[in-house]
Amino acid sequence: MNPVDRSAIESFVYYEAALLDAGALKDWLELFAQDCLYWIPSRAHAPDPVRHVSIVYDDKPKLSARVARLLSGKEYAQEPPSVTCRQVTNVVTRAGADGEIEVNAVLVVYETRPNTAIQAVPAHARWRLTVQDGSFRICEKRVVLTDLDRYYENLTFLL
Amino acid sequence: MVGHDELHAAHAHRFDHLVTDRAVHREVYVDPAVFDAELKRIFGRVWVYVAHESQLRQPGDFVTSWIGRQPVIVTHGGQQQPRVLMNRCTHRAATVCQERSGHATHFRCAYHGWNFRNDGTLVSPTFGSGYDLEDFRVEDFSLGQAPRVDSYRGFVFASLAQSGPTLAEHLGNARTYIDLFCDLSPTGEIEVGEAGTNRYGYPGNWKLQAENGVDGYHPNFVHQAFLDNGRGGLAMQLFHGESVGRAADLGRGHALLDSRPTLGEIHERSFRSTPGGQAHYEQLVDRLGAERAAEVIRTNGGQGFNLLVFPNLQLIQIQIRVIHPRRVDLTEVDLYPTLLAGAAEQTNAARLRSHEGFYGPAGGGAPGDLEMFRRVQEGLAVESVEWLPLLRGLRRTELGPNGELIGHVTDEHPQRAFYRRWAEEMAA
Repeated sequence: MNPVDRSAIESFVYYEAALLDAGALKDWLELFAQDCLYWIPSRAHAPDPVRHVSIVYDDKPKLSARVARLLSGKEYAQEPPSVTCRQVTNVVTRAGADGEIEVNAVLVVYETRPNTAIQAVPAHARWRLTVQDGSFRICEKRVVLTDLDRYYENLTFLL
Repeated sequence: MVGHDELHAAHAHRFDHLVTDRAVHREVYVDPAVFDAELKRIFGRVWVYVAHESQLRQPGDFVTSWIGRQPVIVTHGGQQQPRVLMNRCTHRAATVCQERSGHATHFRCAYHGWNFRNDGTLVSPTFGSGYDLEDFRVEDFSLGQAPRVDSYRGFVFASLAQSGPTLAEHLGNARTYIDLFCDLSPTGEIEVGEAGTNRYGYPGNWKLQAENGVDGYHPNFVHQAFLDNGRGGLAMQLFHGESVGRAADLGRGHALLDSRPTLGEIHERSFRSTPGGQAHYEQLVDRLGAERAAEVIRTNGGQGFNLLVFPNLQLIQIQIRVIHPRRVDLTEVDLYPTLLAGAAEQTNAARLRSHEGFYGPAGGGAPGDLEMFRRVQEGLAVESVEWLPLLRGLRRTELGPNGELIGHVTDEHPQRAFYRRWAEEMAA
């Protein structure tokens, strides 16, 4: 049997997207493994976290703090919160190292807030997934923006 | 306050009446005529930061930036000082370089093929037989150049004025803090560029970011969610009304937020226990002596100070921040996190992680400021309330040893410093 069940994986990344669009950030956070990385690099090719700055480089404690901040009511860049509508397409899956599953997809997030123009954020997304107790867990989610030279006004919502 | 219309009639083409030692007029942020005058009188004359020498190691290396809105190419042409070329073909004015950085011996305009050496000289016009030598001398069509270029500790500045104060005179007291920023490096050298850039923009005037980077009054409000998030209250003490931190008017429009009184000793204690910290400390002692090494660590081992160099450069934590005015109500900002040359990998990585936590378009702090700038620019549409006060700490000022005006970290000495210089430049 192919360990990489494509339709189950697609269902999982769509579920993840739906949680974010619904603002269910605590549920979303629970999808991440304890030893995880949520990463938005600032360069597309061979980003090296030791030498290159990222836009976001969150391990689980930092990601938890980010979610807490977003839910605190005092993150003014999210007052009122962004409304997002995201598409996950062109999903490609393959077996990764150590029993992990690697997923690559195109991610486009449309974001709106009152008094600001709609923002389209196109990206290539990559997940490393593992299976724990019969469910997928995210070991790494990496979102590589296609327009890294852009002067973004607000990327405080989650990609 | 004097009625604005009255003043305006008396000061046509001058703008210094929009600023007093206790308030700023709304037109400073919303009037396109003020913005146009700023580009000419401030960015068109004063020393403006354009690059760091660590981005220009080899002959042929270049970076692009702007002086005000004017696009420039900063090149290493093999000579002592970098050249600052105007990124504008001398034929039909197209920009000749489209990259943010790179390596090139020539810049070739794509429009009609004119090709310039990286010292700015034109090789020859294309299809040269169409030009008569009586009308056309190649040497008359070099790329424009900033007439004055100088550097301090690797920070390259250009002035579009033929004459004026030297860079050293312009920087004045700010040099002390540029030195501290660089001296934390075991070699005294910082590296800009390799670490990449965080970029953000906002629909507001450029001076909102200039003011905010040295505003110690706002963090406990705008950044409460970040500062108070499981940090045991220490971060909230930095910018509290009872904090022991200081703010200073350094003269010449430069300004400082100084958190050393709050955090300096903590930095000094913790620095050597970080991975690689002890070896780093010993290198600093070897190079600087124990006393200066301790001073450097107290200052810059973490969030030591925020420095504003008039008009649009800031050194904050590990970053060089450059503010680009685009329109009266549109601004873009480049953050260049610096690496410490010769420091341990963990040290530089930890600096980057700390920077990312707060700064950049998805950071825990900076986007809150951008949201405030958007709100300020929106509120400035109100015309019946004309002035923005700068009264905080007006009567609690100490005179520093180098002429600094020093107050509480939450006081508005930095903003008064910035606008005093602004008014001087805008009057002349």
